[in-house]
Amino acid sequence: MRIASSLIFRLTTLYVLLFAASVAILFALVWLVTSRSMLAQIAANVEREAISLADEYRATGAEAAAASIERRLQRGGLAYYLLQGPNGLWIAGNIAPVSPVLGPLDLRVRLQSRGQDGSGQTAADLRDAIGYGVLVGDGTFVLAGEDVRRLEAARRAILTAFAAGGGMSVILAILGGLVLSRGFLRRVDAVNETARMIMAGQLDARAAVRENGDELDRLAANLNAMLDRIQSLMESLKQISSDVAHDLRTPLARLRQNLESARATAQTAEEFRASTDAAIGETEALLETFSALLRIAQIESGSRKSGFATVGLSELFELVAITFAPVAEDQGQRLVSDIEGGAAVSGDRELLLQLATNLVENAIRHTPKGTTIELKVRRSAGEIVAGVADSGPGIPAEERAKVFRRFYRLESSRTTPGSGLGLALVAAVAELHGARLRLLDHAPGLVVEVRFPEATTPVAELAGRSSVPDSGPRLTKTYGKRQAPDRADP
Amino acid sequence: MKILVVEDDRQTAEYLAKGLRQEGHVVVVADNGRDGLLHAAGEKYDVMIIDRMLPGLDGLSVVKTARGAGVKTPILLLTTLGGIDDRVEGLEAGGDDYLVKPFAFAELLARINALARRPPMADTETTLKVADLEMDLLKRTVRRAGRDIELTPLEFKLLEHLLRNRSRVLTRTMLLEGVWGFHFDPKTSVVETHISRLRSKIDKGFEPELIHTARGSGYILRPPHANR
Repeated sequence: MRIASSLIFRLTTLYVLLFAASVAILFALVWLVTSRSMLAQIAANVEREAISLADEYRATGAEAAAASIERRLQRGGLAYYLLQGPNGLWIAGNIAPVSPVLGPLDLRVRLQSRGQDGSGQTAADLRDAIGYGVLVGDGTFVLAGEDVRRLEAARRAILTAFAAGGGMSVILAILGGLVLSRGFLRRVDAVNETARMIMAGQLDARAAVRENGDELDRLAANLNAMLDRIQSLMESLKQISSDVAHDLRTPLARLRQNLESARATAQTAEEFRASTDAAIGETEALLETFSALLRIAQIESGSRKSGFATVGLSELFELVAITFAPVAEDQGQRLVSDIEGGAAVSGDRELLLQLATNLVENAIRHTPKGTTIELKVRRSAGEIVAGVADSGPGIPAEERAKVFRRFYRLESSRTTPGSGLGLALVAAVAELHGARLRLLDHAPGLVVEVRFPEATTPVAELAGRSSVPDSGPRLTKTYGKRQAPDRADP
Repeated sequence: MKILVVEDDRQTAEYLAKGLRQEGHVVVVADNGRDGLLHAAGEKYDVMIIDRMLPGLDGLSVVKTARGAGVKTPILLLTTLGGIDDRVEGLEAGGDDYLVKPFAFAELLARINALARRPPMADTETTLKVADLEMDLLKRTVRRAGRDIELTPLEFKLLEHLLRNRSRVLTRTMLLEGVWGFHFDPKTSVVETHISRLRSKIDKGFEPELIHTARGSGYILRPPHANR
């Protein structure tokens, strides 16, 4: 059972069958071709002999022909001759008289000792032969024949040769099949072993990859790549869980303190309310963190991709610019924009809006007074490059890769309120849109650059997603007006 | 107002019913989709608050079926998922507004008030007027007490939204959704900043004040001497 179901057995059997079949075909061909050609050769021989004897008889008479037969018999071999008178009497030759048949014939001859009349012969002296009979004018019959034993011997030789050769082929096929399939399966088993090790908990096990890069190597390499990806996902998941636990402990502890102080120390309604308000504030911060995490998870699941449409990124960044310019101004910062019109990407408007908002708010919240923040959108060789640059303190090069991680906060911004999820969400949105996200040095300051592939279809109605009927199109319209100064205020 | 609450979580349902009754509303609670649908189709309500996740018949199906049966009552959908896709689905099913749990009670109140009193779509209006403040939607001009006031396009839009919803509390979130199309919470004081700029233009130097900060977390534009 076990053996019959193994791939080795099946591959080897297949090998053997293939080898045996090819040997059998070869054998059949050789057998047929050899038999035919030998038969043809024998038939031609006996015909020639019979005709030549008949010619001699006609030319020189019975005596001379009989002598010629004798001479031919002297040469030995498996030849049979018969010279038979018109009355059916034996004249010469080594076989007994037969009833005359003309032309080529298969015959069973009885051997005739010279001088005897053919009586007292045993069945053992009967021989199969191929013959040729000629009737000379006066009724004399000449027959030349040749024993088929030569043909049979040849056939036996062929059969023996092929039986031996075929047997050896089958043995070779079995060996070859075993060797080849075992070599193949040993490598498959190595992959299986890797899988088993991983199932047993040894998560860093990887399949061996050889140098020659055949199909099995590619399989192993792909498997390894898949495992690496899974491992990194698992690690980030582990990281997230521990980050979540860690980051939620502090606000939960504060929430508890607030509630405890409300119960234990609050004397007046005023104090009680203050503690409760603080507790609600902590709860809200916690809920916000949770909803940001859920949102990131939802974005990363990719389900939003189905709703992608062409989004006017220029218009979107313009909206963000005019929305946050007064906010920045109130903080003593300056927000300017340099936005090339008509840039469109394929995406989710709401998420892109949040991406732009997060980037701008990040710049506003983490830079000091007097900072200039610039929003840029430009088209560049099939790409839309959107960016937010600031002249603030920037981020040290070695920290830049980390800021897109969930909950990661720079030492300098630990005291600023926030969940540490803003840029993680930006990264998730960029990833969903197939955009490349980079942090660059603005010397001084920071540039966050997002490179989107440019949309191939033009922007459709922008009203689409807005839940308030009058919000979308009008904003776009007033937007156009804003670009030509003073038109908005006639 | 008579309000139907379809919510399977008893604690939430009680919290909603209690709060709404304190505000003087009549509240009917159903704790599953089937009962909710029977109530919705059988009686006349001013507003229905329907949870999305319900045993028996889920909230979206309740909304769809009710709308299919010709029920025109404004519906506020509730969800715990915080999902971005859910809002679109909910509105497509026939919901009028969408609120993510947990929420501040003031937010819920503001939204059901806005829903219940949503006037028929007045897109044909070309002038919006409250007290001596006048907005011409065609010429896109704003005047108060006969004086022209220059507004940026965004301020214009914000004021238009306040005027269209006059005498009604608009929460920060409602303004973000209605004016900006933001369905997320910015970390900075976007609404406060723009409201304060708008106030400095339309209220500063005029009497009386029209834009008020509502208790809780919202704003209201109302004519003088009007209650609420």
